[in-house]
Amino acid sequence: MSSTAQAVHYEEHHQSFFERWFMSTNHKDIGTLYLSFSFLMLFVGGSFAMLIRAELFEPGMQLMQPYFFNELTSMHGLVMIFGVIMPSFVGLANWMIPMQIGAPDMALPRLNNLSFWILPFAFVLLLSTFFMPGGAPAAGWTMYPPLVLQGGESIAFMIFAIHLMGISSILGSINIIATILNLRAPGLDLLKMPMFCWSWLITSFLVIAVMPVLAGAVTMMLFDRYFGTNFFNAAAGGDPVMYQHVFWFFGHPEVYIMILPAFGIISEIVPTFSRKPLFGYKAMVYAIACIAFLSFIVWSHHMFTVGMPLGAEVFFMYSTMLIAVPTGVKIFNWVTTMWKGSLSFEVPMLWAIAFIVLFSIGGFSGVMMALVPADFQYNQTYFIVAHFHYVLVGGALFSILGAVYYWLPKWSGHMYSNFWSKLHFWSSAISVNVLFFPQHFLGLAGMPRRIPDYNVAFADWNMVSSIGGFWFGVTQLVFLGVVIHTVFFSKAKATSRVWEHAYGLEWTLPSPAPHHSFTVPPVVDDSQLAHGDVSH
Amino acid sequence: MSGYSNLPEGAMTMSSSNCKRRIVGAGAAFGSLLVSMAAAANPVPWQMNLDKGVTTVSHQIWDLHMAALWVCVALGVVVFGAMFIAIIRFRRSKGAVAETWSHNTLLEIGWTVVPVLILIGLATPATILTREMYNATASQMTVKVTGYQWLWRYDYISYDGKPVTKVPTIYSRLAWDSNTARQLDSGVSPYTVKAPDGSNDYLLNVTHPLVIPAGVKVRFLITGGDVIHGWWVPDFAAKRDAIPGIMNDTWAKVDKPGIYRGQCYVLCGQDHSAMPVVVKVLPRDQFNAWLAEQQNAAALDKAARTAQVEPQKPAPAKG
Amino acid sequence: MLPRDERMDEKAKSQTDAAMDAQMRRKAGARRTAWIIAALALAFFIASLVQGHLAHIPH
Repeated sequence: MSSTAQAVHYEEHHQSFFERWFMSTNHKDIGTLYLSFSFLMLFVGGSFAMLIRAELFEPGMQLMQPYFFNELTSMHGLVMIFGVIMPSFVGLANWMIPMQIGAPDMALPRLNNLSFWILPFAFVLLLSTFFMPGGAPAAGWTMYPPLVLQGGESIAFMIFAIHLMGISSILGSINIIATILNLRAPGLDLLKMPMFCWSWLITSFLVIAVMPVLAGAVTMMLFDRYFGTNFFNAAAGGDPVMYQHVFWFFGHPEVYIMILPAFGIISEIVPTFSRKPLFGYKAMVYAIACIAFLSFIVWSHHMFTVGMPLGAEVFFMYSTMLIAVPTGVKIFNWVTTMWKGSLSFEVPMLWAIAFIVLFSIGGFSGVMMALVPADFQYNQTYFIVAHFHYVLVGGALFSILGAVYYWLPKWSGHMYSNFWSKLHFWSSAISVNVLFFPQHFLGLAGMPRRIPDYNVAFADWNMVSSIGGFWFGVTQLVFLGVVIHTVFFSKAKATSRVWEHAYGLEWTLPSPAPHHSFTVPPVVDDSQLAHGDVSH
Repeated sequence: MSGYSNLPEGAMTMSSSNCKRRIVGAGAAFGSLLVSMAAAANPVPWQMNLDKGVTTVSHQIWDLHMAALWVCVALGVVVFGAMFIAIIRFRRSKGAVAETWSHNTLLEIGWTVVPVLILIGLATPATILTREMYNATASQMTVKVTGYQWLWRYDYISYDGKPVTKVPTIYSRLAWDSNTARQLDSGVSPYTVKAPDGSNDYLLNVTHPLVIPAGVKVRFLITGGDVIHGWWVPDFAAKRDAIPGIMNDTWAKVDKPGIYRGQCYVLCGQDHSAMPVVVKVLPRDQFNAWLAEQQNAAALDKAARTAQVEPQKPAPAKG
Repeated sequence: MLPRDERMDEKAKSQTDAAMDAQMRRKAGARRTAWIIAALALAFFIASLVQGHLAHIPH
């Protein structure tokens, strides 16, 4: 089996703690940094959510002033999107892409280091706004003017933080594209690449295209606020709706940036535990490309009630409905991969199955929302909140958790506790539904979003949702325990292959993977690849 | 008015041991639950579905919503059903041996084309309804709605082809009892805030509602005075962003008199949750009487004021 | 750049060395790719600022 050439021996010089963690040029360590950072941010953003659900537990105001509630909801969104989901996926990309393509590291290792270290700095800036006069940004993560311009000193910090996070993402994506296009081991053609790599290749192009557009939107906001321009000031000839167009031109591809890597992960996990090749590999690649392309022409579905001309409304309705088609193809292909396979239900597979169910539920509410007349009743209600939490928590977050459970043995060399990891799964899977499913009902009953207080008719489902929220939040502490135990204390050793039917170059390495792997490109044996068979 | 729902007996019990039947059964029970709850007007506790509302448009939206929902339920049953069957039948622990096939072009084409056809089936009525919702022509009344932080302002512009004059502007703020109860540590429970008919209208009551006649197509011109707000009455399915510098419009023709409540739906700052929309729909003759009364009141008010003190001369400009 | 041990003599490159050469070429290619993509990102940024002028802003 050993297709790995002998590594060139060079001095494994001892790095100090500071050198290793602050000046790293190693994709594995940088991957660990990203994942650790995003895990910390999960608890930060999660604590905001716990406060939100605590205030929403009953009608009336019990814990905070309404303005602070707006700060919490805005920061919850910013932290979860830019501090948890995106860095997690980048961390997984860092760890796995070089190993999956037989490269020694990312193409630009020092740029990689910068990309990571920008983030803690950016988040210190952003989170410090809570302690400023005027408080944190409170106009929603979407930051619409004119409302956002009523904020205090936090605006400048928020904009600066967003610029920094954008730069970090752009640099990371440049690195990923350069790595995948140039550093694949000889013989690893693009159409033999793992799905995770394909998903990140395409996601990177989305990032390159739209993070600069977000930068443009917040730059115009900065100028309106501090330098006397009137981009979004109607009284002086500007247009508040233009902000929405520019923002959502970023915003819609952004949500696909947050889900395409998840699709890649599920396409890695399901075939392994079905003991069957991924069904329709080429179709899956084309579907991701299709989704990415379509994601650029649907943005105004976030703005259906803004007063767009009829033609535009209808165009965006059609394009939005269309994007459901390639997405559906992916779901069908995963289920067909499982069909007539030989299934086992180790922890990663549990997360993948939950993803398929929960993401689909989010997708269904998405199709409903695509219909303009219906969306007029759903827009800016809890129906939307339910939709995006299903796809982002049940979808993206669950895929990240599944990926960690899938690859942690490779990273750490240890197996985790079966009991605690399964407890984490079942507790999360059930509580996430208690938390978010009732929000569909609240939205349909007419409860708007971003409100700290509501009429008593909405009290019952809000209480149920809050209970689910507390339960889900506490459950993630179990995950913290599992990870710490596995990395530092577990004695159960992991093999190279780890999972019986896992295919791919990463599984040819020992567990834990050596600090420097594939220093000489491996000789690629098609039978060892998940998609080495070119006929599909 | 605030009815409590009765869950159909056994709506959530699963007596069958067969997974797929269970899924279908749950789906049907759930669906019937939704349908049974559609009749209420203002939100009720444990409400699970959209209201049908009181306009033709709101009814048509409800129909479209239910059609889309049923399509999604059916798709869910098929997809999740297949997956759960696979989970039960093709287990390694039961000795299942995996097949090796991994593609089928015909199948891929099939499940690309069929969803497109289903979507066209939904998009067609949706397009027609959207056009209808955008068509505010032939309105018999025009009201201007302006969103401010944190209240609504209503101005009557025209009625029955004639401009409306002498009717005072309505400033519609959150009512005093809700405003007291909602303060942090107020000690007043939201459950005590009640409308005259006994229903709870906490955060849904105002000082002065908008009053419109029944059976009349009313065009709402909607704009914002400071930041973006959103004007929405769910029972009318009338909803539009209120944007400073832009005049949006929507319309509603409400046949059933009554009081209809909605909320601001675009985040507009601190008291976004406290600027409800309340529309009182009066039978036409009662509305005409009300309007006449408003115009008389304005005249009396004006007469009363000018009879008092001579208007002060403006102070000379300084400097 | 990986440190290289001195060659023993002028005989044909070993398979390891050939692989390293190829890798170095790939890294150079990677840097070129990176600059191209960075230019693309910058173009999107400028375009988003310029579009406000091109889009009709009502007065």
